[in-house]
Amino acid sequence: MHEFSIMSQLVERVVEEARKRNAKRVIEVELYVGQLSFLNSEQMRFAYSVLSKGTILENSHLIINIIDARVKCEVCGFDGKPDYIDDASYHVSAPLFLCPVCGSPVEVLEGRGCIIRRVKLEI
Amino acid sequence: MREHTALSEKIEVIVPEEGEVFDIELEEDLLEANRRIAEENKQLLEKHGVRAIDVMGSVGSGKTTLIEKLIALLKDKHRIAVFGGDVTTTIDAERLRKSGAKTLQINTGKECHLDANLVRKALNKMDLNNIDVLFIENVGNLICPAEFPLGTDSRVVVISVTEGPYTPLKHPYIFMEADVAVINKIDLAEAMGVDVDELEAKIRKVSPDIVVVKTSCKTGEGIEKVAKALGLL
Repeated sequence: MHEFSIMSQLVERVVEEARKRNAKRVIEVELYVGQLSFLNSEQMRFAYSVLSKGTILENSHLIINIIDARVKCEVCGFDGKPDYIDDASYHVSAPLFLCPVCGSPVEVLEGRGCIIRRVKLEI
Repeated sequence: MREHTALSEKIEVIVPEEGEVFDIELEEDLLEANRRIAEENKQLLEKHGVRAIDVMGSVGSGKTTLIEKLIALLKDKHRIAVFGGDVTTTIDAERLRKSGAKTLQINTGKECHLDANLVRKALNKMDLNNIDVLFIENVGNLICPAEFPLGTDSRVVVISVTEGPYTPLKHPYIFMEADVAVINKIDLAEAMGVDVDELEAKIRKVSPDIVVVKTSCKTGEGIEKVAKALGLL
């Protein structure tokens, strides 16, 4: 639901970077989005296309990479992907924050951010 | 022995050619900006000895009523203030002001959640030396607030039996982020055909460490337990 505000932050940040480097235009922006963040790629793309109009980002290409969730169990040392609640009645399967091996609560190591990895600029 | 470079010799400078393409690594987390401000809020609150509680939950789950009841229970023990977060209107803030707490309304305009920056603005308008406890009522929403910490000591998520039995499984993240989950309107559980214990088990499944409290803000049942779970009693 907050894709629009996140993407307007992104556009602002890229415009700033392009200005700093005297770029003529932005060719590409690459994003890393954590699987556990609440950001929907489809909506991000839509917001990006709307927000980039009339800016140096107009007609640039947005690449979205989804980063898998990674959890760690302090009890048994498990380090890897969490289990998911598998119920066909839900469209999105929800992660279970219990260790797939021993069932203890786990800590989330990866999969929560929304990172601008790099921008490709024409100078 | 090597010869020194003659001063007249020009140092070669590499400059981008016209139309050249550069890849610039940024590695910046867009969610980090909010987390950073949240951390500043937390330090500000700690400095003034204010305990802040982020009250999240569905629309109509009873967030405002829970805060009203907590104020009534705790107002002789603590100096309490409330931030009411909403998209528009001051309906909740007006209600909360009647309960005797200092109240400030934060309207997000369009956003579906409060963020640390809006809370910082509100904090700057309050005399924090005269407050012990601050309740921040978030926008009624089970998705977005989870991703935007405000810098509070604890986070509460309020749901009610009238939302049916699936809320924790449909919105696991908010339960994962919260320290206390309140299942409200238990006086209506039978009429709704909702098994409260089963609902509690579902919450524990997605968030094993959470403290679950069953309440009826209408009858007052469980309100003291919420205050205890938050360390306010």
